[in-house]
Amino acid sequence: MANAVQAIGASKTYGEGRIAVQALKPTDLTIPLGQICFLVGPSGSGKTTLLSLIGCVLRPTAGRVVLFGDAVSERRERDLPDLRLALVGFVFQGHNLIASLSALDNVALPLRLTGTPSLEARQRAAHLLDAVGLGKELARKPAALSGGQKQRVAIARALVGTPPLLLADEPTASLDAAAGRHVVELMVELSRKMRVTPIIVTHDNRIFDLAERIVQLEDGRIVADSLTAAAGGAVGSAT
Amino acid sequence: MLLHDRLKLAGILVGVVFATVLAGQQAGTFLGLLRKNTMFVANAGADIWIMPPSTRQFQAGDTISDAALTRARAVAGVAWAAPLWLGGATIKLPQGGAEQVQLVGIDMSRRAGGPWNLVGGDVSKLALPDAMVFEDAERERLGGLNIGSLREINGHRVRVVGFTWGLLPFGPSYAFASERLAREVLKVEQHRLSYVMVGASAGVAPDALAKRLQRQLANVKVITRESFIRNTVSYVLLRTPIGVTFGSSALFGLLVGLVIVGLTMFSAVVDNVREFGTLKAIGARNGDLALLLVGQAIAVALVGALIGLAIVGRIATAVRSPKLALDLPWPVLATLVVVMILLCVVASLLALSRVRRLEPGLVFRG
Ligand SMILES: Nc1ncnc2c1ncn2[C@@H]1O[C@H](COP(=O)(O)OP(=O)(O)OP(=O)(O)O)[C@@H](O)[C@H]1O
Ligand SMILES: [Mg+2]
Repeated sequence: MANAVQAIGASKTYGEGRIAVQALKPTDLTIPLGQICFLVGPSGSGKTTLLSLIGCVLRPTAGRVVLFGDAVSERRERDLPDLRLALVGFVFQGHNLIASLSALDNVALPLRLTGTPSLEARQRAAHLLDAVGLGKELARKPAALSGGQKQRVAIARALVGTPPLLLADEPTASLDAAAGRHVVELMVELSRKMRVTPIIVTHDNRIFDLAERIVQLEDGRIVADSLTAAAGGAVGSAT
Repeated sequence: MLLHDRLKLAGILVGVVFATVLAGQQAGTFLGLLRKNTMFVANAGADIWIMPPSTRQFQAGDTISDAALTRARAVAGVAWAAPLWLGGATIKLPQGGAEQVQLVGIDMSRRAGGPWNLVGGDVSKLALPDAMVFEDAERERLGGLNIGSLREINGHRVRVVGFTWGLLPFGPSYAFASERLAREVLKVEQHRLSYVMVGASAGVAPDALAKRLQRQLANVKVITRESFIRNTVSYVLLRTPIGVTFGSSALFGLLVGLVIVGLTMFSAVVDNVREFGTLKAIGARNGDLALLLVGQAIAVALVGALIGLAIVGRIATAVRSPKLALDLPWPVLATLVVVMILLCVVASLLALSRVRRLEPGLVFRG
């Protein structure tokens, strides 16, 4: 199976000199195409940092990050926005929707950034909102949606450009258990349908059963990495 | 995403409207004053003016020999030439005290430079002995003038035979008299006059004719109407504090507007820092965000400038009088709009620098 993500000795140090914090120690991680991978671990363990390296939000201090065979860590800083636009859909802890835009326009945004004509962008956005079960709420502003609905709009926005990667950083943190589970189920289901590789950071062990693989971080390094029952029975170390 | 915040939007609009109104009103008043100073030359009907070499703007001063008039009439391309006398005179008020006027003496055969915009009386009556025309807006100041009123000017008894409207330069108003009376009142020497006005024959270019006249006439300055107006404008701008006074008020308005708009836009960006960060995280380039900010800045500038101009228009109509008339030709209005767009674009740069420095990673932090 081809690989979606490869981190090779990738590390990240924030700041310099005496205030330097090595948030991620040199890390190797390979995620095959389509694998449903959860990143777990205590607060401050480096989950967001690793996700940021994979998502081309940050460049590693050392080591390499390769997405779909492309060594993105070697790209210039100013090429990163285009890489993000092309390769990654993001779902954040807060929904991070634009308050002044309707659900439809929020979802259409990434397409508008790639220069897709307005009409086509809105049609595709409407289609995705339908897929997340919000086909009737297109015109609503974020303030008029429930927390779970907002997060579903965010999922539609992340997937509307059909990126090959879906990265979510604690997408359930601001939701109750049922809504949180529903949101992650939706991401898993759409990822399978749209052949997207999802990487989901979560604290919530009640939804671990939705993962095919669970990578656990502690103190900036991977301390456990296992396939789950959902991966096809074999439970055990993946490395 | 900046403008959905009504309060901020209102703040930015107030800044733009304030700057437009202040700058527009100052510019209009200044241009109105300039027009008053150039009005005589612009309206007298002469293509070319002959004057003492020391003259900088249309005002009383030295005199020239009337030989210039005779010579000018003989130059090819001159359709007509007429003399003009100009001097300060003191009018005694019935209740005591005195006021100044600029007395214009005209040649009654052609009446070039003669009173125009008459709102009462009759120009031909200037031919009567001791007849004068005054400015309507100055009737009260000159002691309650009416047609038929008698006044004493420089010791001469004169009778009011008419009123002009709006002939108010920056300084004493104009009064008009026939050549004979003006010479007496102003005590002009024999064979001396203030200006010679020249009309070019059909098809003769005033520029070329002015040069020809200059070559043939000694001890005088010959310039076209347009250069005379230009000279007057630059004199007022450079030699008097008027330009600086109005210019600095207008500049002040622009500066205050710039600060209001700049700070409001900056604080709008700070308020929405998460949204800008989100846009960056999902792949918006700095250029995309710059376009968004500057586009919104231009939109507000346009709306604000139009509101501001509407207010200036209201002010202009409300204060319109012979003494104060805002002059706002369309190039000035267009310039104001462009200036407001520039102002808002410059103001948005501060906000833009904040957006540029935003790290996309901030959206991951709760
Ligand atoms: N921009 C930054 N500058 C300096 N230090 C940072 C920065 N971002 C994160 N860190 C530090 O790096 C370490 C790892 O942070 P990271 O956000 O990756 O952890 P996390 O596993 O996502 O934690 P949480 O569960 O609380 O979100 C922490 O010690 C954190 O304080
Ligand atoms: Mg985190």
